[in-house]
Amino acid sequence: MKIKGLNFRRLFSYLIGVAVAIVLPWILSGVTGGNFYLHLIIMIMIMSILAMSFNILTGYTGRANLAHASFMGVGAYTSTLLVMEVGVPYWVAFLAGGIMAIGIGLVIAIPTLKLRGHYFAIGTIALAQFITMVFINTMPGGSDGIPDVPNLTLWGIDFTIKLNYVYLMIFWAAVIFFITSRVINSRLGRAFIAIREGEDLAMTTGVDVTRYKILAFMISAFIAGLAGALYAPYMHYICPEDFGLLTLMSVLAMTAVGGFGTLWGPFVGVTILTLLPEILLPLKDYIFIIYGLMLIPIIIYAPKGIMGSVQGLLKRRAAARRAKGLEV
Amino acid sequence: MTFFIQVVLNGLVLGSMYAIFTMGLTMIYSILGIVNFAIGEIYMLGAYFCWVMIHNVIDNYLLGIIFAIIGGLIIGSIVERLAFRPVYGKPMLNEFIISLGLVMVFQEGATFIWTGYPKNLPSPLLDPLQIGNIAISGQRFLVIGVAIILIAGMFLFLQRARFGRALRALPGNELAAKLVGIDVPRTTTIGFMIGCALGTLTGALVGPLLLLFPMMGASITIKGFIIIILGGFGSFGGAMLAAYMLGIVESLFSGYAFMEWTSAVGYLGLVAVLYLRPKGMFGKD
Repeated sequence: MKIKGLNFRRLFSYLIGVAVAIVLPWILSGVTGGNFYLHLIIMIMIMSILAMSFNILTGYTGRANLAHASFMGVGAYTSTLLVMEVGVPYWVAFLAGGIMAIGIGLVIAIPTLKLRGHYFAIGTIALAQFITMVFINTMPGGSDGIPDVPNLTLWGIDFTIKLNYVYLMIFWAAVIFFITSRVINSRLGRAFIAIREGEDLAMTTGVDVTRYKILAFMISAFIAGLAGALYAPYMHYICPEDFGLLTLMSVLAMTAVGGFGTLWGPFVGVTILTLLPEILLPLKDYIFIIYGLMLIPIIIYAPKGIMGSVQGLLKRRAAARRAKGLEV
Repeated sequence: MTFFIQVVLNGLVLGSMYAIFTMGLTMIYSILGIVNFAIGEIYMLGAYFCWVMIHNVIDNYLLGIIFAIIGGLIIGSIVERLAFRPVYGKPMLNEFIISLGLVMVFQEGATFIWTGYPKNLPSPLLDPLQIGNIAISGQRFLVIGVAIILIAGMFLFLQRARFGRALRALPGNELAAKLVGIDVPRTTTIGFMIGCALGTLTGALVGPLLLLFPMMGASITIKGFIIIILGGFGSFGGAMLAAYMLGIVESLFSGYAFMEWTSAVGYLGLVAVLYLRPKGMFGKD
């Protein structure tokens, strides 16, 4: 049933999504030990924002940027220092964190612009290590990090209440998801995908490869910086290690399990790999061994990730249905 | 002057360590084209294997090294068959993520078995020798000596030996390799095993100079990849040269400039070289 391009089924599913996002955290906050579930939701949202931004550059544009966690660090450090040392309000700090991440993104993007494949991956990982060193050697607190990051104050809402923080994070994750889907389904997104599918071909069909590569870097870096700026006041503590190789590895694993180059992939992957250790709690001592052993078969049997495989399945079924229609 | 010689000597030791490690990585990454980020963990396991031999079986460093090499060969064959073979020909990121899974398994497995406490690897060669004003331990000489012998041996192996030439024929043209009668899967497995054995050998050789702990492989992995890209992907001689250059420059930098920025030399050096020569210093194709 369609009226003026408005799809009721889609509208209905949006409404259900909004209802779940509002009601579920509220119910969980009432359960005993519910604060822990709220903590998990917040972590899932922060990592989803990071994974979605990673997906724009690595999944859609096909550039394996291994400096992505550093953008998050730049956002977190910038906003924290602005709030603590200068005393700017948090919303200004968020914006500044994102913009600073764009700046560092450009510093990384320009010297690595012409590199492809392995060369790009190794070049960015070297720069990421360098940024971690800069955090350790020049930022206050050094490798011990900055403790006592002040509480988030925004629009007069009390964010020391966990439930409010959950709603804030869900809101941001939804906004970023919406922006990502808009970008990907536009001319811009098609240019990104064209670069992934073959730079030379994209260039000959009139895509300004250099410009779009830098643009993808900027969008991706801005969102990652925002994720960092949202992470710091929640944890009340940041240190260089939070934004190092380990975080990069987890975001990479999560996006890969969910599916690179799919809209829902980052969220699905983050949710599964965040909840898994909690489900397997009795095996906590071996958790990373299991985690690692699981990652290998997932990549072998579902190289496009969970959402990639689901999409492939749906496409095949639709094709089969169409073929059946032709027979009759 | 003494200080300068000492610093250069340290650089040579560091460069030799990088050279042996990178030799293994050259086999796996630049000859076979497998992005194995778990090579640093294999290096870590090598050091621990040697420690296990000395600590639990016989207190003999040489047997420890041999045990480490055998362990590397076995791990190499298992890992190549079960983890990497199914993803050959798929995008590079898949191999990378597989190796991340291996990194977690090895690191956490080592923490589980040997705990996270740092361990000392004993060696009979640790007493410093006094040459004029310069002090250097026999262990460091051993590292330099083994590196020189291995580099020469590897050059001969890759240029002259039938199997070495078969290995070099592999990258990029598997079909052509098959046509001239090379058993591609077998060659790949053996190449991978040799690479892993060189990794464990590095761990057993430099273990006595460092402390053993489960995360010790993380930084050397990145350095190894940097050295290969610096030297030019696919160029064995270039990688060896880059290993010694990085070792000596790092040593000079930490001796005369800022200790805490030492690793930045490699990171920024790589980006600068890639900016000027996108295929590395001695890169072909």
